[in-house]
Amino acid sequence: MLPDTPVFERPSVEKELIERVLWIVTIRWITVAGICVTSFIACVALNIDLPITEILIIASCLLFFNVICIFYHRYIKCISYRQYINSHQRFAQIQITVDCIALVSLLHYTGGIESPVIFYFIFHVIIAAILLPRRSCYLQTALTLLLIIVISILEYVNIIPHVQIVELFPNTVYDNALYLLSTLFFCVTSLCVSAFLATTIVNHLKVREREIVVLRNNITDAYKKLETKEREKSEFTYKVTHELRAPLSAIQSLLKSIEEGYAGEISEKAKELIVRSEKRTRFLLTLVRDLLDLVTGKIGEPRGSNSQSVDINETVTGTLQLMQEHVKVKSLKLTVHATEKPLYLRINPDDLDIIMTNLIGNAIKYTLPGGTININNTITENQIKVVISDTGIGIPEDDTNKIFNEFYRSRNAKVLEQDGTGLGLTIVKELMRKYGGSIDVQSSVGKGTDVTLLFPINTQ
Amino acid sequence: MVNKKILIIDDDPDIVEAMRMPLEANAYDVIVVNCGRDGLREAKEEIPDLIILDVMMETDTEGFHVAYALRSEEPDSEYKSCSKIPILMITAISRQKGLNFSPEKDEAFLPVDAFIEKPIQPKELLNKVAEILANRG
Repeated sequence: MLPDTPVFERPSVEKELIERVLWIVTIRWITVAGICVTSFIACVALNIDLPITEILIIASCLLFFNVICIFYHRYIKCISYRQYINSHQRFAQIQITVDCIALVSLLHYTGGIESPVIFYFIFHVIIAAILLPRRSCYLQTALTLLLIIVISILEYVNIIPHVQIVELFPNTVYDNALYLLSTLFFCVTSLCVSAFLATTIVNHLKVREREIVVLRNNITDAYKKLETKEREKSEFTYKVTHELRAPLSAIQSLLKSIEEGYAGEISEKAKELIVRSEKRTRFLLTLVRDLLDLVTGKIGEPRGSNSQSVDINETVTGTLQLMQEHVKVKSLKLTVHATEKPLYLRINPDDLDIIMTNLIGNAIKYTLPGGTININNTITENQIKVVISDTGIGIPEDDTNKIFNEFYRSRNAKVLEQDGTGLGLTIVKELMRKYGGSIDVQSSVGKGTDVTLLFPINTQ
Repeated sequence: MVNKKILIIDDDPDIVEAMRMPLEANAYDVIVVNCGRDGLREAKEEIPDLIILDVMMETDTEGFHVAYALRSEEPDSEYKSCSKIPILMITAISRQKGLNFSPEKDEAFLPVDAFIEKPIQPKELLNKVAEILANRG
């Protein structure tokens, strides 16, 4: 797709038109009410002798026409969307023509060229400019002017009877040629200028609107491309890391066999070097595993097909069982406060495993022998909260906002534990983000760390 | 007493070597093949006491297919004689490749007896092999 292809331009511009066509229907209700109220006030309060029957007939016709418009709109919408869109331009034309005829009739029954209704044609022209293309607006203006001129002349030459509103004009002026010409002149010029001004502004706005739509589409497009690139990058990292895994596994397996003497006796020095190599390889494998976890989280679809109902209490217990050896070696005091009922969460169980293994692993790793680890699972109305607290070495204040950065390890952590990839918390944060949850770390050096996990409860 | 016979089906010669050394040192006879097709053939001909099977070989799931073939319940299965041979599956793919393979969860669906993760730890391998063979008498 070309970068400047306006993908959604037509639909949104068309939608705009449909909205405006419906807007004019609303305006028409108001107009009908306005006609009725104004004539009522003129007749009753001001005692002006208007041809009220004719005026009400015109208002009723408009009312009836509006009802037809609404039904037509609904009917065409049901048939086909394409036709619905295509017919709207014509629909707008018809409505404006009908309005024009109604307004000219109203003009005639309220005194022809003498009627104050003549000012309202300006609104008519502005509405035409908003709804129709420039050319059609000018045509509508021309039609309106033609009808006004024809009516005035026909009244002037007495072909159709003039309606005299004596309360306004005790003496007739419609038959005054100069008055007729001057009023028509100002009427023609004001409507033409209105049409010109309104169409110019509306056209400017339409151009701007299209630009915005194109811009918006370009931004959406660029964002999608960026997402694709990011994904490709993660997938590449995934492949590279995955390829590293097999040879590293082989090296580690072979070194372990040599270390344990299956390849025959070796010197003490050689054995020591093998042990060191094996340890470094093991670290590389951990790094590879962490990197895989990290990019898998990035590639993974949110709420992927592998999500299932998992009991957090059970996962915590399972993780602790796998780590009980380390807990025992360090004589750590461990307490778990689980809820009575299972805490079900919709999550990929592997992801939850990774989160818990990393956090509980950290707590064990960075708590000195004899320390305490507390795990507290609670549930509120819409989220599950897991707090993992330890009485470990803590995180220096300067480091608390850096610990989620890739490969970052705080200084005191490096001192206590040489090995560590600095990816664990990054992975956890990425996974929490994937499930719409959050992680918060509160810590003070030498006193301990509280890690709070909040999972939204997904009711799906 | 006759040595127990173990068939290793794995295409990584280094992993094979890392397994063969401790196994042979513990008086097991080891037969090695490097693809699923040869593995099936050897299993039928040799009827080993245990098969150690890698998952990812030519394809990412070749090991699964071998396991299914050996355990096939079709009455006219070619490998009927192998259906009782215990299988120890080597895996490095838990968590990866979207297969979401985890021993606890998939054991029921996969017709294998135990799993061992790469990298191979000789002690763990020997323990598992001994355990499986003891269970089978």
